Amino acid sequence: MDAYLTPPIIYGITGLALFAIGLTGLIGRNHPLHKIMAANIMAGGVFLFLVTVGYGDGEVIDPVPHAMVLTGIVVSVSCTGLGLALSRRIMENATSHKNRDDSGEEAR
Amino acid sequence: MKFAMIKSKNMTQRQIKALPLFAVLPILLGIGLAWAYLSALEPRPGLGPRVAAQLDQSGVKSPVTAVLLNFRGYDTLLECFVVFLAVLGVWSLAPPGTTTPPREKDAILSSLVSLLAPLMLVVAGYLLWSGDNGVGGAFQAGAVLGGTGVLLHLADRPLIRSVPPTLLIVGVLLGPAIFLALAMLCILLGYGFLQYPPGWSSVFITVIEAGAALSIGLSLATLFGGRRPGKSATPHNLSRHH
Repeated sequence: MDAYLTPPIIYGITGLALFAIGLTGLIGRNHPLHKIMAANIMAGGVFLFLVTVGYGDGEVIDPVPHAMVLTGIVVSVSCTGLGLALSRRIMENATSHKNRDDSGEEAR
Repeated sequence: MKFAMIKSKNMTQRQIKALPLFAVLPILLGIGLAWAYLSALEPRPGLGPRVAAQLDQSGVKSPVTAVLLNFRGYDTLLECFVVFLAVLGVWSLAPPGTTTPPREKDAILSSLVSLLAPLMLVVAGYLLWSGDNGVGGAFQAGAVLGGTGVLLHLADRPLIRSVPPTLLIVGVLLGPAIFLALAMLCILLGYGFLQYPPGWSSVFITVIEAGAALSIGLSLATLFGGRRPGKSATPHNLSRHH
């Protein structure tokens, strides 16, 4: 049983599982905030997987995936910020249209 | 009480019914990827030995920094501009105004941040300095700087707000601009794009890293504010009052 639970298998499969969970949320959820969170979970899975691949044989570490993950984390934070700003703008527009259409009859 | 129970029952029924429809594809994809990964699972060094062989020419001792800013500097240059683009996008989506913290002033958070912020700045400087030899570098230092900015914002310490908007734009653009300028300088000196002159690699990398760390930190902190700081054209949000 030990042979099946080596670090590359544990971390690699966990990364892929996170990716699948995030993709499920990205497809199945409608709310923009849920989609952004799902995309973040997906990104976390990809980062974990890439770092695992970069682990190599344990002796010589492959630095290329590490460098990609390093920049990828910062880029994913920026993407989250942009996504949040976009979704807030969408919400603001939706509420302002709704208020104009209803003209104060009923708030919701 | 009864209504709540019925509602929750309906919710669970709906979710159970709807779950398989959109979960089939990701589950199949995940199983397929896991199968592909496990069937090709054998320890391999990847590009490690090749990087180790060229490490002496890179100007730094850390292989990750060497890949990041020398061997694949082109990628990192583009990623710096991606962060800048994200800031531009956020600033375009809302009119400039004062970014207020999301909640009331918290005495504990405020005093904690006043203790933590100087320490975090020192840690960011250390990470930037240690990037040449080991763990650390521009992106780690930038992340810590960004975290400091976020904490200061949450604690209502107006660091980002007190920076003049023009200076903030200069700071956000400084890292990508230095990166691009030095890459162009390599061409002017007779080498390729981002091909550092021999013997000058470590100087180029250090300057690029310092600029990139500052800009990444400022960008992440301003992204958290959600809008471009500055004088708002109208006291309230224009889009809400047509």
